[in-house]
Amino acid sequence: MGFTTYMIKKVLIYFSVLLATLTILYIFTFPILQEIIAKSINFQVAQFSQTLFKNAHSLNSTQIQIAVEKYRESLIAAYGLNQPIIDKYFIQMYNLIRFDFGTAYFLQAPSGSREVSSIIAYYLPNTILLFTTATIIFIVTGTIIGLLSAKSKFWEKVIAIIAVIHSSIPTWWLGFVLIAALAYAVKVFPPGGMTSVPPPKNPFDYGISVLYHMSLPLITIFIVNVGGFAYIVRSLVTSIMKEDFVITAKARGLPDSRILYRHVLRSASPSIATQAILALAGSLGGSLTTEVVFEWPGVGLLTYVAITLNDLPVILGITYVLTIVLLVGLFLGELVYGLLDPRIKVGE
Amino acid sequence: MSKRNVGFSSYLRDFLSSKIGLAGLIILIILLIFTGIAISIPAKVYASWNNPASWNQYPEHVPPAWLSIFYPNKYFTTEELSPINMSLYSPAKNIFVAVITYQFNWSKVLPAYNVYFITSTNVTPIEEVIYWSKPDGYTLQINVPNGVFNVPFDLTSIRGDILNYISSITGKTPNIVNSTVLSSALFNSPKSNFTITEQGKYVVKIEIVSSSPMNITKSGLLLLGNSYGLMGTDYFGRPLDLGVLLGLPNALEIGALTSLVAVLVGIFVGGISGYLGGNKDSAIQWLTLVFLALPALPFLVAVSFVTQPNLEIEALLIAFLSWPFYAIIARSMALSIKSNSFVEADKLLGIPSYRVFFTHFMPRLIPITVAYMALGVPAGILLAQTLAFLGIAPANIVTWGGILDAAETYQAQVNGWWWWVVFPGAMIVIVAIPFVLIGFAIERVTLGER
Repeated sequence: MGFTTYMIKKVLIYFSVLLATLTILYIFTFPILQEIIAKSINFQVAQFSQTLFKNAHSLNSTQIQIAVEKYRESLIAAYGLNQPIIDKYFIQMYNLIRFDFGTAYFLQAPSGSREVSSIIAYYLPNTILLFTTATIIFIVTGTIIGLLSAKSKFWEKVIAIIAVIHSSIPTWWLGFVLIAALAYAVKVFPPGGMTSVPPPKNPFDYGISVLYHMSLPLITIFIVNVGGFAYIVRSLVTSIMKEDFVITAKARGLPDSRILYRHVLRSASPSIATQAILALAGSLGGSLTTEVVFEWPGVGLLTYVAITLNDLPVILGITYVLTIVLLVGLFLGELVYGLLDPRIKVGE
Repeated sequence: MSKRNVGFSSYLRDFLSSKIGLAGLIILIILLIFTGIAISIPAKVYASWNNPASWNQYPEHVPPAWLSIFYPNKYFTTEELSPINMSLYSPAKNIFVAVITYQFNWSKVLPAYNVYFITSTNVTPIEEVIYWSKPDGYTLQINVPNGVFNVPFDLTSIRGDILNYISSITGKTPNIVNSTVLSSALFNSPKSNFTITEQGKYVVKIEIVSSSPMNITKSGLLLLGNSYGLMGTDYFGRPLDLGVLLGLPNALEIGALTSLVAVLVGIFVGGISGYLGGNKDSAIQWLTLVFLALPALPFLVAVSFVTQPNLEIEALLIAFLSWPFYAIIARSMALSIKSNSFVEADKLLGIPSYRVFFTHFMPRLIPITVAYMALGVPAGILLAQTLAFLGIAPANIVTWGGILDAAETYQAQVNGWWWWVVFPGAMIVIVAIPFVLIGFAIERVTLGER
């Protein structure tokens, strides 16, 4: 089986997974969706009747009422409210695949659009910027520490401690504490936001300002996550250390560091890459609350605002978008794994 | 993999000989003792948590009391006084007067945070007057407004006369009227413009006038301190140590329930998948991936709007989202067990495959199951508290995430109320750590040191 066949197979699998996941979401959120559609229809009908009253002077009120009712019925048909549940399902899936999540109740994108997809599209890049940077930093450091721990007892102890930290500290709480300490008690870092207010006009200053505001969230995410990743790398490396080719290399008298970096790292790299992409995909969906604490204008903060405003279409839209992001991440992980690990290309 | 005796007692011996496992177990036992205490707290207290009026007589947003050990001049605790003298007399027909006298020595360099007057009688008084005598002999007369008779009231409810007194000394009315400003007038020397506390003997007399014979059913005077309890109080005066204690049972319950369900389902599904192999394995893996792709936090938020879950349903929802992680681990374990020769031998002997699965296969997954059950508890607790922090928690439940949400709302970090942020969050960590330690210890025991 060639790489192309492998890829096509994976694309098909992931597309089917996407549809199945969206179906589960649909089943769980069916009542909300009905409510959202009903509200949206009411809104459009109200708008329509207003324009009729303003513009259509030739019509009397009964005629207008009939026209409004007709309009409402056409909308109900268009949204499939009167159709059997299976049709509703297909209409919804079709909308989701086209990123059509409907209109928000209260929230607006800065462009003024109330389309949920354009609201999310405005905030998503900020989230990706913060969490991708953070993930890259902790993956690189975690890999180094993980490799070191395979060699030295000291680093192994350190890893055990930071792995415990990783599984017991909520990122948002650590952020909270660090803000209180480093932004308010000792004024080293800004307490929140993405840029200083007002944002600098010069692109260079703007970049510096973003970096400065990013540093405290980055430190927080780093502290919480580096141990967990180092722990994964360590267990991968130690299991490879026991394999025959490493023992042979040792018997040949090669220096430890050469074995570690040339032989072990090379055969561990597909797994490390997969884990890294999993971490990257997971970090987008998992650390939303961190944004709330740091007032970082990303999807997490958007979720929080949507929760406080009860803006259901936005919350649902975010769930759908993050599902897709997570799946794309997992898919890329498989591709990288396929590229790095020759065994997969040959065939399972 | 190390060759050890497979047997419960040998695992237990190994586990107890590992330092981190033992440490985790001890912390867990302590936590369970506290859980017992928390469960025995009456439901009334539990229900009053979300009712700010219940916490009137507690100082608001003050740090923990133990700070007074380190800063004796800066922090002190609440003093509760009982009357030294109570007298009832009737100066004329149909006029009855009760005088309650309190006396205390104030030796602190700061005024009390607030003063609470508690008096209740069996009648509705016509008039209630407080005579507040300072050490220098000056007596301040405060008339209590009609509305606040017979309920405990603090300085802000009787601010009128105190404000007059302040403006008569300083020549201007303060811009901000809060209990701190008012109590500084009662405790500080007017000569210093209310900046230096008068130390010495204070006498407080409360005169209650009524038109019918009366009984004083309850009386007391609270001099609120600027520190409280083990963990301080929040914006409404709710003691955080109580909140932290009340949050413990539900945190443990949700963690344990989540982990139990998720790990059992995950290990079973993953074990079958690895055992069967082939197309069935691919199908189960596909299903695992479907559930893995659901983003936990937004999904739970969206679903919470539909179901408004109680504690158990929330735990099940979290478990519903987290079993795929255990399934992946179990599958890889199963694949390595499958390569053992005993599986071949069983096949050759003609033992039915379901029996091989249950008698030979699953038992070998048990140690790792137990390890992941322990390791899974913190994940469940963290997710539940995160949801509570976002404002999505089962109703009528005190959660640490909820307390931290309030801290965020009232900007505890900006105001320097560090105790409000540190203690509830630290509890999440403290509850998570024993499970992580135990999980790591079991993992080491079952998989060998390296």
